[in-house]
Amino acid sequence: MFIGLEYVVSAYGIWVCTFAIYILLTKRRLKKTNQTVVALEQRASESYHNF
Amino acid sequence: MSVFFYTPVEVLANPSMFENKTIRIGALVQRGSVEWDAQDIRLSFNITEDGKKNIPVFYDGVKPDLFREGQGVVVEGKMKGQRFEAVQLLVKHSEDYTVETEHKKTKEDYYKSIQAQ
Amino acid sequence: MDRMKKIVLFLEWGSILGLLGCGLWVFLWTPLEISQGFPQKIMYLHVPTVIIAYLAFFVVFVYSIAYLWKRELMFDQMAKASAEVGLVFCALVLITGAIWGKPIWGTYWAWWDVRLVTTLLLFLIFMGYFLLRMSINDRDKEARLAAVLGIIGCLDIPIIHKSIEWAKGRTLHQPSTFFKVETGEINPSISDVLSDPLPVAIFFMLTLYLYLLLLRYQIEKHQDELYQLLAETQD
Repeated sequence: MFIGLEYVVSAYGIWVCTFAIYILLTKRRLKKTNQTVVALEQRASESYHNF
Repeated sequence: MSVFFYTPVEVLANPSMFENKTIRIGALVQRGSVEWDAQDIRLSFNITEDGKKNIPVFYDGVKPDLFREGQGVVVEGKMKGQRFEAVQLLVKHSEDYTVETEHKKTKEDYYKSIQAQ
Repeated sequence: MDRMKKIVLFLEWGSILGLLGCGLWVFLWTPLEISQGFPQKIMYLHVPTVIIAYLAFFVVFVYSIAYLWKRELMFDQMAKASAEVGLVFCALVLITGAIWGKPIWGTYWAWWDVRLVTTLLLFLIFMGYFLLRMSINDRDKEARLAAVLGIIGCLDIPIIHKSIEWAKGRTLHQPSTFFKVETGEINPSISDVLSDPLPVAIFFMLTLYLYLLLLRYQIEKHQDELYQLLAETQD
């Protein structure tokens, strides 16, 4: 009844793992760029005030 | 079209052109022609498009799960005289997807329709 | 911004729960297909994935034209974001298709199947799309050239779709299960119980795509903001 189970498991497994990794990486990248933008904006406004 | 596969009629129409060349032929497995030797792992069957002209195919390899009579196949190999010696056997599945219960139902409908006549 | 976060969170959990539900439906309540048996389950992964891959590249097509027309940076950011998400879907189409091919056709890959080769071409074009972007430093030039390549690349999609007809059926891929050209019918060659999960799976892959698109777009937006800020501070 379950002939070919290994193909089904690997197809679904690869699909889920790929998206899990892709989502994690994308979230991390977003966090990083977000932080950098905030930090730079702060520095820019500080240097403006000091000036 | 030749880059994809030939048909039995095309090959039989011009045998000298295909002799000893590696080619692919796509056709249907002729009903009643399949011989499967599980001991020596040898499969032979005829392929045809129209049920009239056919080519006997010999394949030294495992019979694929979905290999059936009347099924579309693509064989890769060489013509050796009248017979085709395949090194690869691929199965074409149809675009039809059905489940067990519906299959039974259509069978019953079929018998009923015969009885009604 | 807060609204954006809410939408993203909603799409994230909606997609995860929806796709989990589809998985349960496919594995617990969908009967086995008669000729293929268990490997037919890969259809619910492969078919929606290819549809979303097409959609993602079509979005690239639309935003690329919009960029060339209006020269609005946001359009290029959207095109780039959609291209990357589309590339992931496209890679998974090739992988899940190969895995499905082994038990059904008897091979992972056939170089003479036009649909396989034209789909690989689509993947390679959009790999080239990112190489092109990486190789150009000028922001506007990068966007313009990428837009041109994105538009040309998308022209491969109708070719993939029509390839089996053009090859007169001399392919490993079978003719369409879902649309019959001669009769104009929809779903003529598949039992209802087998086709029912498909539109639902397509819907939740669509929400997954939108979720990823929004995440990716925000990264592009921030990156361009960074360039701008750096340019300003250097002045």
